[in-house]
Amino acid sequence: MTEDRRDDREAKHSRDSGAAGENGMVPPGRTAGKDAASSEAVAESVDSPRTVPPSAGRPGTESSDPEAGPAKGAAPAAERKAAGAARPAGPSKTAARSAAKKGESESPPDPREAPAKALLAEVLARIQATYPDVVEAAELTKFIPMFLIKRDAWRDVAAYLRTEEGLAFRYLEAMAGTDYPKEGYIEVVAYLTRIPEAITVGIKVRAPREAPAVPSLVPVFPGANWEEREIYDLLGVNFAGHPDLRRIMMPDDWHGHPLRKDYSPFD
Amino acid sequence: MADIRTEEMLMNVGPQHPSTHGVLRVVVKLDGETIIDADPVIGYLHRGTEKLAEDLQYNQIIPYTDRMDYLAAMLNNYALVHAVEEAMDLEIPERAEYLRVIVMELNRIASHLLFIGTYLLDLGAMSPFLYVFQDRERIVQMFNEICGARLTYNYMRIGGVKWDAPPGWIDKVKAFVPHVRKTMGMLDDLVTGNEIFLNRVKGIGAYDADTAIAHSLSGINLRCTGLKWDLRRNRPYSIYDRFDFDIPVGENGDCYDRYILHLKEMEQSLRIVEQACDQIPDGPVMGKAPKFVRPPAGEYFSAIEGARGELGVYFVSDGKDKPYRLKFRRPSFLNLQLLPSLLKGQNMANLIAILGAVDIVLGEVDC
Repeated sequence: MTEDRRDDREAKHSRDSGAAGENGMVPPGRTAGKDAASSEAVAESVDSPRTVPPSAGRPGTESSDPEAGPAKGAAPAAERKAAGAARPAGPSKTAARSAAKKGESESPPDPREAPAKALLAEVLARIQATYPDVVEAAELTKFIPMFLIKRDAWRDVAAYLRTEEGLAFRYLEAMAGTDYPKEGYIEVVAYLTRIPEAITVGIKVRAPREAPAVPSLVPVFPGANWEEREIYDLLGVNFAGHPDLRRIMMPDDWHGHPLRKDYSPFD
Repeated sequence: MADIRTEEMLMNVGPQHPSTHGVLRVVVKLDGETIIDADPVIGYLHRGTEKLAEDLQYNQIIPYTDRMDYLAAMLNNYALVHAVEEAMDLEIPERAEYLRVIVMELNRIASHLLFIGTYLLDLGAMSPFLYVFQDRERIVQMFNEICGARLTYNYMRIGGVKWDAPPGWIDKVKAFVPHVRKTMGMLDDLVTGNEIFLNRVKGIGAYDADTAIAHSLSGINLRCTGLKWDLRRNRPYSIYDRFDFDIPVGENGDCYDRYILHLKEMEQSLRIVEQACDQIPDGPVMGKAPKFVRPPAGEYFSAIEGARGELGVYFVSDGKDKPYRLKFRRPSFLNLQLLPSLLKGQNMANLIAILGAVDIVLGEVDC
């Protein structure tokens, strides 16, 4: 009980995060530049044995990924040698990463980066071969390839990624919608995963805020049903072709869409 | 017998009904005792966590995650801090990672114990419920000792954990492990072979792996179909690549498999806890995390294996100390989607058996 009250207070005294940054697509070089350098500094200043939270499994750390093989094997092995005997005991992957952090001062190559880039290039090439001119942007978002798809082709590309041999991203891992009032659009993102290799790609689509409409993914991924209902409910995106587009969280007679940035409760 | 005319009837189950495990409402259309259609109505516990989070600093969001899946709050804590740490490339002290794994796996055991107790209670078996609560109570008390709360832990921080284990705590956990094994053996003897129980769950609510994948099911709801998909193994995070454990899978994808997998997974969690207690080093429990957590601008997605399935966190940062958008991929929410198609054509009495085996927590469904 007391905790709840404290949370409320904290929530009240901080209400200034309305403004959006320049937040469309993130420049691909983000991880290599300044941010990586600053986290490097943090890493250097701690001297106890520790581990990187590997959460490694982004595309490529699993050995079943064909592209992962060389990158995983070659680079970390060299760094491990450099790190010497002082590194904490643990399996090679974790150790190799912390060794990589210590060993080099500039632009440490994350072992996940190379396979992710390869995956990005491969999937991009395959989409473009079948659907030319539908990918508006492609980049890595922290080791997950992300493709901005034209609205008309949204469902087609999702279906292509799901069924095409060699791609087979059959598992819709998550969907989310985000409101960008400054830019004037609402963005819907979907993460598709290949089971059991655990390789993930993201696709996203943008719809104008005034009348946001996006083709529904339910005919392709039945699991998108409630996710899309939630996005419809909270952000007001109309999913064309959805079999049962109703509010799911808010009451049916609710006014407005709460997750929009300019939402104010209706009295 | 040939032509008995029955009348269609709408029946309302919930939202205040003990076997809906919270405030779930299911509007069921019945023909006699056969379910023609079922429509889950959710949102009674919607608190707008995602909207609230947009006004909170990252560390202030952690207590809100406790209230999503309140039976496995440690895992929720971790899902959030892990997502932010990943985005910022933070390094976590070794001891903190071990403490996290120990409490997460203990929490998974507590959650699974509660599932078994309540599921059997739903099906009419009272005594297992009492036994599992004894063991769960001991876990909850250990959590109370390490973080001062029994249910809403608020234990993890970005960069580590808030408190080190009190003296003797690790030994206490170690001593607890064989105790749970004994309880599990007893449950197994008491329930698993019981003919009445088997008749209620064997072959009920079955689906195959393709259906499960298409509907984005995860956790035991996915593994019961025989598919080996556990993020701790398939996409290792934290230090799970250091432990030796198996991923038990089912065969038929029915309620029985989902029940038995909970038991089997507890055994694997116990193994992880044992290994972690043996390996845990000394050292700090909090890394060098900045006071104001500002992940670099961009969007991030990461997921962990929660007690009920894949618990994902998607967030968009604009470089400030509060998320621009935070979205939780809640396993209960997605697992519940399949319910209407599972219920169609079933006997009304099976509603409880099928719904119970999905293992939902409404705090997480509604978020």
